[in-house]
Amino acid sequence: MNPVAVTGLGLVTPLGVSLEQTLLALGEGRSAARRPTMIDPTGFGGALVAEIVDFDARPWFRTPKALKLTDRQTRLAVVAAAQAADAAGWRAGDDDDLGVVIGTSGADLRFEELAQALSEIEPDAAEDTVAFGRAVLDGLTPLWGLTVLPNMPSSHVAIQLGARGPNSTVMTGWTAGLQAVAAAADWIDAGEATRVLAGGADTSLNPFAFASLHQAGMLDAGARFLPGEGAAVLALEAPSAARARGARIVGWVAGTASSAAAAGDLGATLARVVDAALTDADWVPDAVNLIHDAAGGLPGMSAEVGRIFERRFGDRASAIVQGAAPLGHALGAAGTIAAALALADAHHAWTRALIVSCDPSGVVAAVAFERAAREPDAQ
Amino acid sequence: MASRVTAIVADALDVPAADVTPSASLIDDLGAESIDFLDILFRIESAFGIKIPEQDMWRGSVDPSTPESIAAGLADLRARMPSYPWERLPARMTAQDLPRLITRQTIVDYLIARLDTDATAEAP
Repeated sequence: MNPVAVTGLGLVTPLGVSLEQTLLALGEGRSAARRPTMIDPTGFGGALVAEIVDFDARPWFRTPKALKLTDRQTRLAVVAAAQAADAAGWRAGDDDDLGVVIGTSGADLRFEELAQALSEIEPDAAEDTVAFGRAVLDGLTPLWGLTVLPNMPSSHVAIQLGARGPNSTVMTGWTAGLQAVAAAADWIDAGEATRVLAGGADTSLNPFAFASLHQAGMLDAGARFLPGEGAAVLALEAPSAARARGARIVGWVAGTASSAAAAGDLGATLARVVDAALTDADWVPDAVNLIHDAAGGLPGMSAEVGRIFERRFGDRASAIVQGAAPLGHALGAAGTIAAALALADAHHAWTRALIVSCDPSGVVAAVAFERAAREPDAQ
Repeated sequence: MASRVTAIVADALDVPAADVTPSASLIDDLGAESIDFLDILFRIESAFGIKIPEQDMWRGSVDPSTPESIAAGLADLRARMPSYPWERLPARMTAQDLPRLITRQTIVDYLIARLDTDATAEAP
């Protein structure tokens, strides 16, 4: 692919509601691990989590009334996107050239309200599915459906920032954020948009996600997995447009790849995706000097992932494994959070980074980023 | 009852409670949109334990059935709400314009009438 410029970053993590706050906390060695307040960990092994405490998205909403239509992921997405747009120097307003694509693993269906509505229905009511459905919906606010639709993060980002260009949502679990970045880069490369806000927004701190993690053994004492949440949005821009307005270019999206694995074949798929991303970026493995691996949190995968990276990159590339403290694992946002932190890291001397995410279902995504110190090599 | 309705409307529309005056139009003065009416309707139903057909929110003030019933209902409202800014409404109002007349007071009036009717219907 032709490289796409990154001209702004927005970040919301359990260590800070901005890129600057998060970097400061990381620099001070702080960890986000704490006992949860958003979810009752009873029955889940007394797990610690990485939770964004006292998160208030209101200041970032042009129309605060819209907050009642938003869930946690949507609020995180809007805040991170607003920050990225501001950092890129894009003025909020009706903009036909500004696209949005957010990746997330899905909403929590407003579990408590849904459970309450179900509890008020006679047990044998489910025999008549039409009547049952009507009875459930009667017990839910009319806003319920709007709040839980998976495209709401992308929608509300567009509404609040006036982004009237292409709009899409990626829902591939833990790889969603990176695949959103890949989709946005494709749009720009194809001339379908000049600028796109792309990234991931997600939370594991809801009953469905937490129960899923528990069922997969991720909350067991030896799993070293810290459930988290957060959002990271990148402002992506066509290089010609970025140069024309004298934008500060933070980095480049140089290549992308993704695939889905058959059962039990995650390792081979990871290897294939890594190689495909390098090919798309026209890089050789020797050129990579930073790898961020969001697959290390998967049970039983750490050793295999380590071997795959070792065979390709040896000890030339620093590897950062996400999933544990200090930030925890933000599911669909994990990959883009890693990308944002890497791009903003002024202390680490990397020039070419490969950010990798894996989902327990077998989807793998990788995005190659080039540091902004130099223009990427011509294709 | 007025205070409960005020709290519901203020929360649903994200406006200060002081702005929800008896004659403030939910649409023209408080920025309500169609989705907000669904929200307010559900909250009122939950708070007062009743089911409200959507068109009933302001029934009792204006019958939308015919132009004549609309005109008659509006004449009645003008007499009861002389301080309402009628000049900002179209000279000839249609059924589609009527939701602009929904105020805290019209909601309270409806609830009072509705709860009295329900109580009468349930009386032995």
